[in-house]
Amino acid sequence: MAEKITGIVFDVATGQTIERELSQAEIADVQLAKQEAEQRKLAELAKKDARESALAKLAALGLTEEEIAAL
Amino acid sequence: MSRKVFTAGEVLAAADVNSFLMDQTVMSFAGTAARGSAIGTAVEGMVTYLEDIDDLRIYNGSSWVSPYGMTLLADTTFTSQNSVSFNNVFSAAYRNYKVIYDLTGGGGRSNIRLRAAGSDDTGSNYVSSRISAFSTNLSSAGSVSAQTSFIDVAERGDSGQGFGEITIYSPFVNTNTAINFTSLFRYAAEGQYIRIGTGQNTVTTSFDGFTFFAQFPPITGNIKVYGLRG
Repeated sequence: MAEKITGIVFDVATGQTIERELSQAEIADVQLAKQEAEQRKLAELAKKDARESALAKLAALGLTEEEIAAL
Repeated sequence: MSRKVFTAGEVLAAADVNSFLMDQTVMSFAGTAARGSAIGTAVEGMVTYLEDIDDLRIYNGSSWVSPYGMTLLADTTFTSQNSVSFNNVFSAAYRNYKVIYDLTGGGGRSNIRLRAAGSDDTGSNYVSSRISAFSTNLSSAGSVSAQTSFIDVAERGDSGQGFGEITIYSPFVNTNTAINFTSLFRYAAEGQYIRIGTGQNTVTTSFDGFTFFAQFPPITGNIKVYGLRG
């Protein structure tokens, strides 16, 4: 049996909270958001790796930690 | 509402008792439904006490508003959900809103979308930028082109909890809605994070709610929404 994918809706006007199953379009939207988040995470990791590589190269050139931090 | 000075020996008419005494006291009701049934048409200046929320409300001529600067409008605790939506939380009673959340379960980051008449605005109408810092690291992210939500507004980390607040500016007014946010969370390998950001919705729709949704559902936690007066 497939796991239910739910969301809640709280209506301030009535004070009622309703739990409902997401529509197919909403589920597809969640999956898209997840894919986009994974892509952003990969891009962030690549940027972080590039920065660490650049710092290592600067250190190899003889710059001290204080000098690198001052850049 | 006006004030009357009674003179000695004056006939005390029922209408005077109702308008100058009964309607100008602090009237106590079980809740908004009981208040609506009892009062019918409210008059500007009326003051009521609502027993269900233990709080005062003043009628300003068009709606019942809190006498305080910051009023709790919604307080929702949720478990293992993909999304948490709020309907009818934005109104003419308040121009700006504060959302305070804590996430205790689930992982990854969460986004928000604005909402009108029970439906999310899923169009490419959201532009946002954010700065993240942990330890000695600082990075920025964002997009010039519009996205379909305000991205990375909240995060839980792997410490078990994530906290934060979002200020939403003018959602109910027919102008661009803006937000700023602060997200606080921790990862064991990287330490404590702070992420601050800003965003703007590029259409001029009057929004009456929003949806908080996880990039990697489900999420568990609590969201409180406050209206800001003034």
